[in-house]
This record gives sequence, structure tokens and C-alpha cells, in this order.
Amino acid sequence: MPIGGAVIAIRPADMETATTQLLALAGVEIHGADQRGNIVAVLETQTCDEMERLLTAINECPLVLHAGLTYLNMEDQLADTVNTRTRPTGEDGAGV
Amino acid sequence: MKHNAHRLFRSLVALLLATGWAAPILAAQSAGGHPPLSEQDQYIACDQCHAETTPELHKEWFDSRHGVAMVKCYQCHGTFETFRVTPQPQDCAACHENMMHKCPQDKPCWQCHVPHSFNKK
Amino acid sequence: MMAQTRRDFIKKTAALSAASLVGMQLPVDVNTMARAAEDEAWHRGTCRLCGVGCRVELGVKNGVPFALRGVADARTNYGYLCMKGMHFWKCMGHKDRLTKPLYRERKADPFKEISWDKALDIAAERFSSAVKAHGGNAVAYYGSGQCLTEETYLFQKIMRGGLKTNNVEGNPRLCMASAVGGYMTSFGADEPIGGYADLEKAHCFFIIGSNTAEAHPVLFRRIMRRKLDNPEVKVINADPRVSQTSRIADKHLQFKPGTDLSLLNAMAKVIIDEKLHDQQFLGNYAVFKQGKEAKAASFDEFAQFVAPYTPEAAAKTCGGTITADDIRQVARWFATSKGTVSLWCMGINQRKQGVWANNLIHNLHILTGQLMKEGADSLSLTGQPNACGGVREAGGLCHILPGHRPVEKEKMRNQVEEAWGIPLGRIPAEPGLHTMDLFTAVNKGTVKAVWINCTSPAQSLPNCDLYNKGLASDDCFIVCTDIFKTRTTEYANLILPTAFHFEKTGVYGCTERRSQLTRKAIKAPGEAKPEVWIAREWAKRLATKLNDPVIAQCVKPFDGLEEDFALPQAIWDEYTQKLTKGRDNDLRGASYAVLGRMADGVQWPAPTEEFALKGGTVKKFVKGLDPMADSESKNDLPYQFYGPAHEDRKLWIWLRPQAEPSEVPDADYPFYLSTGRIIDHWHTMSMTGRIPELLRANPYAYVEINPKDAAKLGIKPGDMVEVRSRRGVNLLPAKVYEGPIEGMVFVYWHDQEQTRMINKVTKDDYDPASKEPEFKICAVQIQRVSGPRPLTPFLV
Repeated sequence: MPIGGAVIAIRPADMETATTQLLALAGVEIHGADQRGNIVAVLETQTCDEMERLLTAINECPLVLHAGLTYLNMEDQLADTVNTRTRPTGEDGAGV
Repeated sequence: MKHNAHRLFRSLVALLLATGWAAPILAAQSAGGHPPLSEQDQYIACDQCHAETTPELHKEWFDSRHGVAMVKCYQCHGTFETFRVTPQPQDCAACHENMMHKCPQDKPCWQCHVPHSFNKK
Repeated sequence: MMAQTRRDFIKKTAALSAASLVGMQLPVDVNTMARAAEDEAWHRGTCRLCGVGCRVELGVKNGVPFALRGVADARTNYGYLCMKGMHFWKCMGHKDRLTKPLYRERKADPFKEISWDKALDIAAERFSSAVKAHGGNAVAYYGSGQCLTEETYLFQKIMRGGLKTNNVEGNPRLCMASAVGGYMTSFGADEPIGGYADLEKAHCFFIIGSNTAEAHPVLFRRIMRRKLDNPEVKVINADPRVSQTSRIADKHLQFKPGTDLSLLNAMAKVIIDEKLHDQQFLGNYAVFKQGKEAKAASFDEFAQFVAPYTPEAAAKTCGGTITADDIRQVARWFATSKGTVSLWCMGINQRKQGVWANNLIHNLHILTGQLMKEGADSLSLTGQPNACGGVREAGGLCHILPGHRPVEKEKMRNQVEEAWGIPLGRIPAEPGLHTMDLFTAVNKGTVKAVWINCTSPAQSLPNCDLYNKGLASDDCFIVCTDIFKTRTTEYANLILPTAFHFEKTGVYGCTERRSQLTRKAIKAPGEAKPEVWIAREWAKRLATKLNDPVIAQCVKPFDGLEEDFALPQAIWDEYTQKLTKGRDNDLRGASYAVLGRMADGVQWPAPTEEFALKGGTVKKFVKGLDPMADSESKNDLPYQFYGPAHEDRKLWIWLRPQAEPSEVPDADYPFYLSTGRIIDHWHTMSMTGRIPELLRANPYAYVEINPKDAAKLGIKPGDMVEVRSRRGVNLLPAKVYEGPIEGMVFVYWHDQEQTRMINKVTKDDYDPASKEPEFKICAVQIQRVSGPRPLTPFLV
């Protein structure tokens, strides 16, 4: 399961509402925030594809000015790919 | 419905007297639970029985702003499984959240807003 | 898999790397990290139930909802909730929730759980084969005033632009179509001119055909408060039934069902006779109309027309307790108050003369100039939370496209086709089947596949047994999207489990033209999905099976978007930015970004974000308050009636006579039957019936009988009474109540139990203009069957 570190930029006035909205997204943990509107978050997903989708979802939040990954650890997913008896799982929605 | 509630009340009182439980059950108002009713009788709306069993209280509620606005018993007191004689301030907060900050924090709402007319003392 | 201690280490590293980038000092203690699972959070949204549009906050702890509370700053409810708004969170984790797609090929078979992949394929296969064999008009979508706007908009786009059918309808046909017709023909534009802000400024309330205390409780609270704080404010309540609303009335006018047209015309006559009309307002802004062709009439012709409706004659027609002096008094109060607000609901709309009844109320406001100013409005109360926003505004009825565009006008179809990037001429020119015709077509077998979304017509249609025959047939493939099983899912081939309110994101538009956003706050149970995802995935398969790239084009802008937020937002953006641009319901300023920042929401028109953030248009058509009144202004007058339906830009006063309901009492069926809701239950009780507090308040449908009638028939409270019409019969416990007028009974319609389902008894005749059925009036026999019996509540 990939783990990412992200900086999410919002308007300082929106801090409380934005925090609530971000926490509603699965896989988001908020580790810190400052008065300039920077939120430090840790993102955890099942696959890297999902990580990318989560980041997109965060960027789509109305109060988010910008979100970017500063760190990504994929050692889990790499291990799973190498192991021929397991396949990476991902929730894509049926049939897509 | 008035007829049903009256019938129920009388049979309940008869039952309680017969079993000698009248005093403790009628005093159970303060113990927290609603006196036990059959499942069938639980389908009678609160205010229909209470118009007979606690008429002054019912009238006080019915004539109050809560009564006119149809804020019903179960909104503050819960239903049978969740019944509480004395509601929590959080129950009031469903509609009166803004007053939670404006009013004194050290007493429950009903000390000043006396049930069931709720006029401020 | 990574060991937990290593995982924590990696997470800390991730956090520190991000923090160092922005120069932030992180707390060292891991326990102070904000974790979604452990905090109590309150999520803002709109109430799921009625058309008031109360703003609520859902309390969530550990991902589990535990309470609802009101939003104090919201201009709809100011923090107040009714018991339904307080308790509907209990539907969210309910054990009866549908969690997996269910399918059966024939309706006699048991349902089997299937995958989403299979389910969507079956839905696409059955619809596309019907279209291939019989054309677009062999399929239909029947939606709801409880769907999110994004859902209604996307489905109707797929039906019209994709499957080339205007068979797009919704249950607001059963409740609001006459109000739409009334607004369109009286004001030239749908929906109220004013809104709730007028309540606190009104000096006279005229509440007719509405039990506001039970159907719109939180609005009633505002009226009650206005009246109790200002005793000189007059409240007139006109209703064949004395209800909880009557408690605050200065005058209750109780009239025989269907005679209110006479009452309203008589009030108009008094106003003219006593010179209480506003000649200047009439001169500047109004014309008179009559007949099907909307022929012009003069003021004198109008006066002549209402001349027979003397207060004495009307009192006689109305019967009940009304006197001629009552009529004069209320007419004077109405006309002379500093601001009069009329409010009405199903008593006026669910009528064979529904549009006319709406017109006659608007007439009074136009005649007296009780419009446009503070505290004066002609405020039709919308029953459902999103009949306005989704169905009336975003193209959810068979004859209108998004943005209040009549489908019959080629120019309007072309505008929509261009916005959608599909070939001109793609959308059919004819309106589709309206609701009653649609279910008649299902009976006939000419409609082969219906998608029923978030509503239960098997119980909510008038004369429901007749239409259930068609629904039961294997000739009609039925898909139901819902959260619980209902009487309608009993006729489905395919049941798709949907996300409930707060389990998905989207907009509701309430009674007062206010669009408000609810964001997803919790996960849907099991495999339940939001409808916008379901519709998109279905459309992609339809495109393949029909080999039609235009269908794919309809959902292409939404392909691949994350379903919880990005997808509904994209749909909302397309609808507001492209389809409402320049229309009278311009919502371009009401983006998710704007809506997300507000305690409540935006009243259209609101073309810019700046204007939207303030709340939008409080009064339509008023220069300075309505940006379109300014931009559409044609002269120096302060009011500009730019509504799309009146080219002459005038308000129309209609000459409408008293006309009989479809079925009135006679020797064989001597009682009036009326039906309606009560406060604790919503519609067909699939939601409220599963909440113990609400269920126990009214566990069954009751028949209310006037004490005088009860005495004559030997009926005591709780007795079992048969209510029988030419169409069907119910057996109901009696409430003997000084409510319905003598000669009338009133039955609650929420009960799912077959012997207590009153729509078996009601009549399916409808208003010829609006196609809305006359639920409120038919003729029945009443007979005592037995004393009280122990009854059990019933849920499918």
C-alpha cells in the first residue's frame, strides 16, 4: 500500500471547513496545518493508481488551491508485483 | 383514540393495583424508564395516551410553542427503547444549537426554560 | 505487507517531508494527529425530506452518523428541524438497506444477487433491445423530486440526447405540475417571485389547501412566530379540513371540497366592488385573459365575469361554515394588509382544476398589487426537496428541457443539442408521455422498459391497482434504483442499491428557488453506488450495444471522473454553466466552490459568483434585486416581467369559472374522500417507517371522520371502517376528529399495507393542462365493519 506525503494549499479562512472535507476522503490523514493555509497530509491507498486518483480528488475539492505529493513510498506494491502469486488489487468500479 | 387511551390507562392502573406495583411504577417517572406497555399499546402515539394519563402536562405542552409547532414528546424524550424522562441538552441542540453558546453553560436548559411551556422564567 | 511499526515510520517520514517543504513544525506526538476515524465531525448539507430545504449538519464519529442538528445561519430554517429532519440519519446504517444489485428474469422468480458489471449490462441490454425493436418511445425514465439535480440532469440527457426519447417524467407530475402551470400562465415563469424572507415581513397570511404545520413544519414555525409576536397579523386558513395549521388562524374557512374556485372568485369580486384593487399596478403590469387561446379580456369583462360570485352565492356553494361576511372579511384583510403572503400545497394542486385554482390565487395578488414588495408574495409550497431544482429546472418532465426550455420549440432543442455537442435534430420534437399516460402505456404494453428512480409509483399513483397490473407484467422490464425495498421494487426485474443522502454529493433546489449543496460525509453501505455513477456506466454500455457514439458523447465529459465529488461537480458545472446561462434560472454563480462556502445556498437567478455568495435573488423581476430584471429591462418601470412564457412581459389575470371535481358524492357514494400526509411520515414511509420514533407516531393509515358523521354511522374511535370507491376498498382504523368537514373523510396515504393503501381508492382523473391527478377529491362509501382490532405496521 503506497504511502504519500502531501502539501495541500487552501485559503487560511477555509481551514476548518477544508479539513472536514479532506478528512471525508478515504485515505487522508491530516498531520499538521499552519496559519498560511498549508495542510500537511499523509495519503494511504491500495495502489499507485488509486493514489493518483486520490490526489486528483483532493485537487478537485472546491476549497483546495493546490495539492502536491512531496514523498511517495511504494515498497508494498513493488513487493506485491514481484510476488507472482498475488496481484495488485484496486477498486475501479465494476467492469471498467 | 381518546377512547383507546382511556381504556389503556384504566387497564394499566388495574394491572398495577392488582400486582401491588402501583406505587413503585407510578414513582418510576424519575427512575428513567417508561412504564412497560405491550407491543400493541406501544403503537399508540405518546400524546394520545398522555392526554388522559398526564392531562395537565399534555395541555401545557399542547398550548406551548412546541405544541403549536408540533415538536412532539419523542423528540426530547425518545421512544420506548431510548426513553429518557430527563432529556440531555444535546437533545435541545438539534434545533437550538446556537443557544448552547449564548446561554449559561453551568445549568441545563430547562432550569430556566421550564417544561412543558418552556417560557423563560 | 509492511509491518505496522514500519508503516508508521514511513507515514511519519512522509509527513515530515511535506512539512519541511513549507517550513512547518510538526508535533512530535503521534497521538495528536488528526485522524478521520476518531474525531467527531459535523458535515453540512440539506435535509433529505420536504421542500422547505432546512440546512442540517450530520454528526459523524468513527465514520458512523449519530445525530442531525440544524444550521443556525441558514435562511431557510435558522437552525430548526422537524422530527423527520432530526431522525433521518437512522436510515444510513439501517439493516434493511439494499447493498447489492438484485436481478430476476421473470417477476415470479426470486431475486438473485449479481455483480454491478452484470447488472449494468442487463439494464443496457434490455433498454437497447427495446429501442432497437420499437424505437426510443418504447422506453422511459420515471424519476423523483428527491433525486439530486445532478442525477435528474444526467438521466434526462441520456434519455433525450442518447436514446432519443422525451419519455422523461417524475413524481412531481403528481404534486407540482399544476403549480408550474399556474406560475407559467399567470406570471410567465415558474417558481415564486419572492421567498421565505417575506414571511417575517407579512401582515396577512392566506393559507389555502395546505396543512403547513405538518407538511412544511419549519416554515410553519416562522409563520407561527410572526403571528404570536405580532397579534395584529392576520392568518386566514382555508381548508375543508380543520388541521393543526388552523390553530393559529384568525379565520378558518371550511368549504366543501372543490368549491374553493368560487371562494377565490368571490374574494376577487369583493376586492373589485370595494375598490380595493391596485389600479396603478394593474395598469402598468397586468392584462386579462380567458379561454384556451388566452384571448384578451378587459377589466370590465373580468368584473362582469366574477359578478355572479357574490359572497352570498359563494358561501352557499362552499357550504360548510362559511358566511358571506367571512368572505368579505378575508378579502379585505388580503387586499388592505401591508403585505399578504399566500401559501398553498396539494389541496390546490392535486385537482382536476389545479392550474385554474393556482391562477385564481395569483389573480388576487395581481389585482391587489400584493406582489414584489416586502412581505407580499404568491408562494406555492413545494412538497419535495428537489422537485424545483432537479425536475422543474433541470429537464425532468416530458415537455421541458433543462433551463425551463419547452421541448416543442426547435430553437430551444437546438440550444441544448449545441450545449451537449450532439447533432441538431437529435432530441425529439414532441413531448414524451406524461406520468399517467406513461403508466397507461405500460399497461398497454407499448412501453417495454422503465427506469424508476427514488420513488414508488406502485403506491403513489392514484387508482394504483390499475397501473400495478402493467407493472406486474413480464412485458415491461423494470429497473428500480432505491435504498430500501418498496411496493414498487416488488415489480422490478432489476433492483440497484443506491447511496443515500450524505453518502453522495449533490444539489437540492427548494421551494424558494434556493439551490443548496450536500457533500458526501460517510460511506454508502455494501456495494451501494451513487446514481450519477450508475447512469454514466449504463450509458457507456448503451452506446456499445446500440453502436451509437452520440450516446457515448452524452457522458463523455464525465468519463473516468471520481464518483464521490468530481463526477457530480462536473455534471453540475455543465448544467449550470452551459444550460442555465441566460435563462431565467441562471445558476452560473452557484458553483460548488460558492455553495460549499455558504451556510445555506443560492437563490436564482445568480449569474455571478459575487452575487451568488450573498445569497442570490430575493425577489424576482425587481430591478436592483434581480440582476436579470436589470439586464432584461425594457423600460423605466421598477418591475420587469421577463419570464420566458409571456412575450408581452405582463402578468395575466385569468377568467376561470367554478368547475366540478371529476367525481363528487352521489346517492351511491355519499362521502368526499381526501388524502394527505401527516408530519411524522414521508410519502410511502419506506424511510420514516423504519425509524421507531416516527413509526409509532402513526403506525398505520387512519381514516379521519367528523364526529357528527361518526355518530350517524355508529363509528367510535379505533373502530375498523371500510372506505370504498368505484375503484377499490380499504379497511382502516377510525380517528374521530373535529377535522374533516361533515360529509368528508380524510385518509393518510403513507401505509404500505394493502388493505390500508388509500391510492387503491383514489381517482386517476387529471387536470387537462397540467396532467396532475385529482388525489384530493373523489367519492366513497363509509361503513363501520367492527370494533378496534389489533393492527400491525407493515413494511415491504
